[in-house]
Amino acid sequence: MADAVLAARLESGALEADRELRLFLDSVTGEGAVVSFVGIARPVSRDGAAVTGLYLDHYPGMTERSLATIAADAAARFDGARVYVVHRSGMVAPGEAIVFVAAASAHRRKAFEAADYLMDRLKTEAAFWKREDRLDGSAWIEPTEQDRADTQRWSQACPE
Amino acid sequence: MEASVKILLFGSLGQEIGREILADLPPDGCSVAALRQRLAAQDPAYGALARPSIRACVDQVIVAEEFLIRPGQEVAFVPPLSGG
Repeated sequence: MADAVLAARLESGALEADRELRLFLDSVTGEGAVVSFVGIARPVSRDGAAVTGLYLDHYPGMTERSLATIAADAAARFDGARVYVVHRSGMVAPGEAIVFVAAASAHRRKAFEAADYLMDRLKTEAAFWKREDRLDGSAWIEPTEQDRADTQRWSQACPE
Repeated sequence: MEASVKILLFGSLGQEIGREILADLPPDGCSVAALRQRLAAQDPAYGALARPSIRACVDQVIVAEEFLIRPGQEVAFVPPLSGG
């Protein structure tokens, strides 16, 4: 799969999760478990305001590297689980996929954990600046305390 | 002679100030802290770049205040990451 599919990709156009999953499944050679996750832009903000879109600003080069580093860390941490990350940049409308991650492993546990780990790291460390466009104005947003706590979980003792 | 350096701005900075600004660097370069002072003196609008939450990147790596920026390097200022 390393040859057929890049481990991490920044996507400026539409992210078609079903197509990405198909690509990843086609790359499976012998693994018995594949876990995938799709993050979708929400139509309502944390405080209940209607959201018209999310804008993801990125730093060309640095952002791609942040995705690749997180993917490589996940593969190393979960015994070479194969992982796949596709992340949107630019304007994302509510209901559109913003991130797709998948992990393949011999058995299911490592695949679930690798996907969970990927998302926690992405939520705090992926090099993006997000602006929420709402009917009542726009706001740049930062990771929540919960996001930081979720990432922190993985700094504790390694499982097993 | 001073060298002109292009500085990239992202997130809220890019929106408020512009995606790119120009600054003059001494031929031997200057620290991040000194660059912030130069920018603030150059244009009051650049004062936002002095906020402690704003970090400097040189050649796409976040650097400390003492880091010496030399002409020819890629310089950016970035707000705290939003994450994905």
